[in-house]
Amino acid sequence: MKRTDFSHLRRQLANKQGREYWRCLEELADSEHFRTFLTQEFPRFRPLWDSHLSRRNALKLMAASMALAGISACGRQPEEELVPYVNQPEHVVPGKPTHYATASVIGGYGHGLLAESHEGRPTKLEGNPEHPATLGACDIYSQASVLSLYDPDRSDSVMHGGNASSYDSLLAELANKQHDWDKTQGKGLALLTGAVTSPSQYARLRQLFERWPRATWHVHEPVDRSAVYAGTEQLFGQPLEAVYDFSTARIILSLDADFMQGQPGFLRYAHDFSTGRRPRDTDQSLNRLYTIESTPGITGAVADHRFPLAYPHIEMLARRLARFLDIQITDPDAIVEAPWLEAIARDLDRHHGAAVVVPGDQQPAAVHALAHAINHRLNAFGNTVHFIEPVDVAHQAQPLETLVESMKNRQVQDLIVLDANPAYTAPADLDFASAYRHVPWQLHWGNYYDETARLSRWHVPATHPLESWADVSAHDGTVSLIQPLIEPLHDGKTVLQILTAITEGKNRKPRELLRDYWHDRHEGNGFEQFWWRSLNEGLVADTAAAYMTPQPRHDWQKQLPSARPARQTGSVILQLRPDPALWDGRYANNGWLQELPRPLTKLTWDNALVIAPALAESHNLAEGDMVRLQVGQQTLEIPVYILPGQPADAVTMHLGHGRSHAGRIAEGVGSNAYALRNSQQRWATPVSLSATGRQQPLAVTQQHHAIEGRDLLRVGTVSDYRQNPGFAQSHEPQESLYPESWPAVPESDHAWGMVVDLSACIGCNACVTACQAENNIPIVGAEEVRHGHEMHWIRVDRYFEGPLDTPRMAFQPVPCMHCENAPCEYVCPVAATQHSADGLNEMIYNRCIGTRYCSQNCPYKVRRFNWFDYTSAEADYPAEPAVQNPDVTVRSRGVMEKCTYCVQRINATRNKADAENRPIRDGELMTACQQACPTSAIVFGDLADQHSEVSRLREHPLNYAMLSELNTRPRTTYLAAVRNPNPEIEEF
Amino acid sequence: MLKPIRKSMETEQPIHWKRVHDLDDFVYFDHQSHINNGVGCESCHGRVDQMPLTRQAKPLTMQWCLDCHRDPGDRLRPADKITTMGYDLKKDNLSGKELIQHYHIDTDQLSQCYTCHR
Repeated sequence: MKRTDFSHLRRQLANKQGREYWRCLEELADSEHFRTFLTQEFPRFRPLWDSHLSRRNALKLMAASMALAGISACGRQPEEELVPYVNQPEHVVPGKPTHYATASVIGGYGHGLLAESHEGRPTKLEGNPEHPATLGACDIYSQASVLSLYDPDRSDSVMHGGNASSYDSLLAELANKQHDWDKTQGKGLALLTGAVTSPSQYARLRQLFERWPRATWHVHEPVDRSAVYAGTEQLFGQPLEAVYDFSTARIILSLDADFMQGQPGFLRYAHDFSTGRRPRDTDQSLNRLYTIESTPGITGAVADHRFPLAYPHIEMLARRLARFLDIQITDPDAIVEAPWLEAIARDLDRHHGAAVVVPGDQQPAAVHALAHAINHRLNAFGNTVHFIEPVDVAHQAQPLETLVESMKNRQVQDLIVLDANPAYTAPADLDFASAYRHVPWQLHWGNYYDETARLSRWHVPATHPLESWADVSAHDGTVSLIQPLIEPLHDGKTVLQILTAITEGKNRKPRELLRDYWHDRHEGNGFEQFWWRSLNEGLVADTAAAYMTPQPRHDWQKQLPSARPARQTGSVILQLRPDPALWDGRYANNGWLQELPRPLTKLTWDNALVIAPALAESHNLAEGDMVRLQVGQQTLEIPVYILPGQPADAVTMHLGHGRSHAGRIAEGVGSNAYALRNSQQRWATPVSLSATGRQQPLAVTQQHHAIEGRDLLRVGTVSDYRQNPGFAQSHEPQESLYPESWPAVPESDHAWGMVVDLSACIGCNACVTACQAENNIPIVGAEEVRHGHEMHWIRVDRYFEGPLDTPRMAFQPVPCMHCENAPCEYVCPVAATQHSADGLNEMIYNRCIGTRYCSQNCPYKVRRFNWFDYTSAEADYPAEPAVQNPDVTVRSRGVMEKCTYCVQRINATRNKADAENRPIRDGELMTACQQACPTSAIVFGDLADQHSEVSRLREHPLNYAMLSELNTRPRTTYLAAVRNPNPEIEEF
Repeated sequence: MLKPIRKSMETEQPIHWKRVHDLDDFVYFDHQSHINNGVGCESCHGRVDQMPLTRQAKPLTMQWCLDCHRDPGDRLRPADKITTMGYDLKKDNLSGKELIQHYHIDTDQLSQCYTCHR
């Protein structure tokens, strides 16, 4: 690949007039490579046969296809059997799904869900509208967890010394162990868990430690939040959990906090944040977000002002900010260039009681102490930030380091690992695996026979949350009951079962265990009613934690560590981050998440080292160049990815890749960042970097479907909007090449349409995953993604604008536009794509013969073609039949497909309304993307109903249609994004 | 003749029925909306009362479905006659047009591809 000339790019950007958006460096540079890529008919059309095809072979193949086409067209369907229930369960109507409230566990915290079940088979998860952490939205991890339920690579048997064994033999051995532990009061017994927010699990753990008081409890959560508790302890004298209220916040400063994707409560935070910044809903001033971040993330991308700053500098910045706000602390000795900081401080200071500073979970304790000291100064306590007792009770457990220390000193005889995988996730310098081998007896409980399980004497398969009876707390303490949708597929055990087995040596029923706990806890009569109501509603009423009113200690400043010395110039910082799809690696074997284009990099499958353009320039690196990283004795080779907006002196690598024993999907994908992790500096450490001269192509989707030089994305500032509310409007063409009357006469009672609010979109990908689950969208693998064959029906385009090193960013979700004058429909030779009376652009799979003319003619490039067999058992990544939505056709090879506006939901809602003899209510019908969206960025409804929300938004001055000059008259339109920059900061 | 059914109830083992009316997997059919809109059992299943062994009486081809979807009027019947065998609309002095209005049937909608395929 030709090197990018960065100085040329910078000159080009400096000469740009007005606001111009670009998607990737190659497009900006207008490189020859990129042009060739785009002009091969269109990017996804790659010559499939590189080999020379002779005339003779061509004739042979033609003859064969004629013959085969004849055969396949004959005959009736194979005979099928119907097997009805003998005793039909109540409320079950075959063909109609039922919904149950349950919850998923994300980073230890509960997200309330409604699970859709088809004849006892869960296929789709939605957020529970009553649950405070989701409010009806659904995050990517919860959404994709339904695929993991059916993962054929899940552990399916109790393992003993590497051989299949039985749970009964484990129970027998545990009975002996209990005798030993009784004698020694548990000396030599250690427990290792992740975060624990389940009240029933905590009660069981307490029982265990009461019986064996000398046993020790350790916690290892790879994306650990210990700094949150350490920081509040420094400031208040006790560890506390902060719960933010963004609905009342006007000015928000994020100190490397990815609070819309990576912190407990992120869905709720994204919801609350966006309600304060949608011009469509508020006439008042919009809120303003400043993000200072070490790696471009979605919280920075949607900010009004975003400043890249390497991880170690953020503490310096927090100290300076505190001093601007008259908080007495010693001056940091390292001065960070931040001319804008004073303006931010003034803006915060002007909004006492409505401003909030959010420290990132991965930032050191000092940043948390400083941030909350600033919040105290800004009168934020009780207004925009509340404090509660830590939800994660494992914060009181000892860290992994002390466990490894004891293991090395042979003080641990028996180790029980619950749902953790330290053999993979422990920092490399601890050398967990070899210390683990020193332990004579290990028991591992988890979903996969993974890296740690393989080293353990015993392994017990865990149940998936959709198979479990359990409970879990949300970020604000609200407890949800987790009820199973299906019997355990692999005879897994719940956490309560395994803990009961350890303390009592018995195998008890999981439902009884949970019920008994809540029965003991319940006061007064009416337990039955309480139990059923809690299950039905998906949460236990009145369990949100009480707000506390902490005061900073008078000498908290003394608790602050002295400011760290300035970094030597010239060295580079390696920052580690949880992956925006795989998290800490626990979701690595989930194909939906592996193939999810990451919000900012648009990378799928393999991870890469994210570097700044300036660093690429100084090291002469191009995308895909392999570099060698060295931290201490540890080295690793990884391709680079150049991301504008990355701090120049820091590089970032995402955790969760490079698994060795995770299953067929995850193995061999990416490089393991834990191998460079240091237990002392978990999130950032100096690194040396050298080019190897080799290359590895990355599976990036950002260049596919690029439509250059057209005004697709429209963004303005609040002052633009106030001066001219219709700034995004463009002149509609008055003449038409299309034959219909103008405007078209509505033929049906309904006219479906969609409006996407770009002010609200945060680029979190929830819509992409929801669509994948709802519409049976296959995964295709890294090789196919590199050829541009990804199948997602909705893509989220990411744009850059402005300077190369500190660009502004924006997202634009693009589903099928359902054009009224759809160019695709005119070119189909077999009428496989048609227009319905209610305005849907229909795709009829059984008619499609795969000419791909429609995709060629689509100006939005939203059509997807099944180049190969992506779904059957013979596919590279076979689709699991059990997870498929029975209401949507599973497409075969050679067929075009695209967004249908979730027509199965339209039909189901219409049939329901028809049966109840009433019209369809506005808001009753939601597409999958709309339902999952935490920020209500997607609004779908009936344009024929003048009072519907979508009609209202269509009339909004910010409404514009993409490529309206083509007169395609799309049914999907956009509300231009409105940003609220601080006029004092000369940047926007 | 009902022995297998009694046995199934006793042993709680479901009967494996042979499927007679089998639409292709890319066709989505909803009994509820047909019954609620006045399509009788007989219209698609034939005179089941006169069948010693159930068989497919109608072709169930796309052409056949569309014939009715394009012009459902004369095939409709009042709600209380859905299960009646051998029903004749004319004997009741009812017209198909009235029934289409009565059931609020949107005839434009019926011949859309997405009504049955998705």
